[in-house]
Amino acid sequence: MSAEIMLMSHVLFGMACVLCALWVFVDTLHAADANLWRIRAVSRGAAAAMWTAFLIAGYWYIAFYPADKATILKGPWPFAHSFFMESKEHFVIMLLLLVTYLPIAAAGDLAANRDARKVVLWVSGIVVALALAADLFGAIIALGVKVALMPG
Amino acid sequence: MNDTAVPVSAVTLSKYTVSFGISFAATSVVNALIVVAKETHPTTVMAWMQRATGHHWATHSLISLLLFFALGTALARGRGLRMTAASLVGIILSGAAAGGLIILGFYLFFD
Repeated sequence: MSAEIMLMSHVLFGMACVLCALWVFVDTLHAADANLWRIRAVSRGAAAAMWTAFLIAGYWYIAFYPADKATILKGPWPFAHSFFMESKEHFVIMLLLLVTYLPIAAAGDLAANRDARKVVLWVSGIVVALALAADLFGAIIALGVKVALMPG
Repeated sequence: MNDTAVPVSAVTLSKYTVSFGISFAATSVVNALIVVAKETHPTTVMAWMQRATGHHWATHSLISLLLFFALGTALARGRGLRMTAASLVGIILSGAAAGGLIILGFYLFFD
């Protein structure tokens, strides 16, 4: 698999995680006996998508990022690495932990248990926020490479 | 008298929801503190993390994941902890905010 395909697929799986977590949030607002199986299945889907994104991105970061890092640091946006990449590579670990927790929280009887619903709503909401922040940081890192390669 | 001060009738969360929620909050803070420790001690902490798996970030991820599962499992032993949803959400939010702010603040102001 080429570095570019890996890079794009980690974004794809990351966005799949966002969509799944958003789905869990909305479905939990309307939790009933009929959709409990779906909430649990989609919460597992969010975790699976994030683990896939994390493993692909982790391999890419270790194997291919050093070249991009050198490019960024020579360009006009060194903060794309020194702040955005350094921060992102560490807060996505929190995101991975939280999305791993989501199916555990969603295993309760969300139809009958208001407290369990409240926890799932907050957790899925934080997952969406963290994943979108990771996506934004990733876009800035990519721009850091781009502006470094632009002439003049 | 219940030593958690939470009436049993008010507790409706499963022991795994509570234990892994607390584990997430604690691990998020530890994860951020590892960032500070390795970045401020490049020849000791960072060098050890580099040697342990071949890359400091892989070691960092592994430590955080192992801590999350170990702490979550340990806190769920026996009857587990009892807690209301409001308290658990507060702990999860505090852990996420503290972990995130330590990481962002460190790279913004100190690195």
